[in-house]
Amino acid sequence: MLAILGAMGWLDISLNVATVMLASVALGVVDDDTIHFISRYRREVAEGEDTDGGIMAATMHEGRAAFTTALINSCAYAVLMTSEYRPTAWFGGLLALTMAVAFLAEVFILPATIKLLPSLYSAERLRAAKAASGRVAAM
Amino acid sequence: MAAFSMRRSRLVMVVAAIVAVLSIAGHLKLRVDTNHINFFSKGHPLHESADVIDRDLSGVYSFQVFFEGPPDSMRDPAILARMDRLQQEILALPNVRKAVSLVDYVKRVNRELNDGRKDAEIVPASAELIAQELLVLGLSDDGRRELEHVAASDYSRAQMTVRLASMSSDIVFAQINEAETLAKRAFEGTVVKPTVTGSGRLFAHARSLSGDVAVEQLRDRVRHGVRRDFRRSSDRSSSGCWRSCRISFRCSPFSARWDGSTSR
Repeated sequence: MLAILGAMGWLDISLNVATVMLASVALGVVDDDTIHFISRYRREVAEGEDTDGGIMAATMHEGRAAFTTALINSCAYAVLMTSEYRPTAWFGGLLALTMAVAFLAEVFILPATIKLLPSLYSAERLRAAKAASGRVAAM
Repeated sequence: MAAFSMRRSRLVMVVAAIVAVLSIAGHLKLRVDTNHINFFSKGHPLHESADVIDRDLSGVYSFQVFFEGPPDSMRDPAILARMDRLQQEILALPNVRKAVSLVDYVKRVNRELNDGRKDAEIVPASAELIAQELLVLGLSDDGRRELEHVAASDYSRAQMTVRLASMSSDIVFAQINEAETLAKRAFEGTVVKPTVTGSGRLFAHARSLSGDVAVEQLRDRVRHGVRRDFRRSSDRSSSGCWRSCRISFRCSPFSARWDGSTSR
């Protein structure tokens, strides 16, 4: 959303009755893929994969679905760009762009974040956290 | 893609950070526009008709300056003189195409009662004369209807209609703010209270509802900082280990900015 609102500023697209809803609509659509990716990564790690293996598996399985979703949503929203009413056209175009940017963020930024923050998201850290919570539950 | 991202994770994050910085710079250029004419392309019939009205007639948009005071205050020569001065100042504003008020009728009647002399197109200095002229105007059906548009029957209220060209809502917003400042200054120390109102005002207010104020406040809050207040909330958990995280903002309460400080 940061990138899209920034693009609106650079492209001189105004914030109006239609584009103001962009953030809430986009957030509702694109966060699902990220949740699926993280969920898959945690499952892979729980089944014994290391960090790299977990990321690869999550990207292979969830990334493909995310790509299909982004492509379909982008094409569907891009139809609105034919509207004579410019806020509707901007809304459709920007939402299509948001889908594409969100997909790229998911396959590039999310794995890089996991990789760069091993103390929070590495396979060992997640397994240790799961073991600790299991011990607490047993008590 | 994931393999590249893992191998070059630092590079990916650096690129993401650059995109984020550029995006934040773009945010500062974001503007709010609620002008519905701008929502249609240049060649669209609606846009073309609005252009004709702007170019050849008195403009698409309007706002009113509403005056309130005691009965008969609106036919007081001093008040009418102030209204006349305010009208001239508002007419001097950019994008203002036309302004009509009670003063125009008084001046016109005075000119006609003085054999149509151009130099008689002024607000008379005598309150009795103004009252008589307005009475004469009100004797005809047309005159009475015209007067009903600009003043109340007891002359405790009057309005000035200002016509504006079609433009971006942030310019309308600035023009209305300026008109309000001029009106307040013109009637300072008198019994008359001016208020800027009408569709233009609503139109400008829609701009704030569309998010401009929200964007400005977000910027203010980023500037002022966010106070994170982590507090232990013993009433939410008997064990006392439930910690609630509250993020509160130190800024002033939400308020639309009518001070004209928004960028054009």
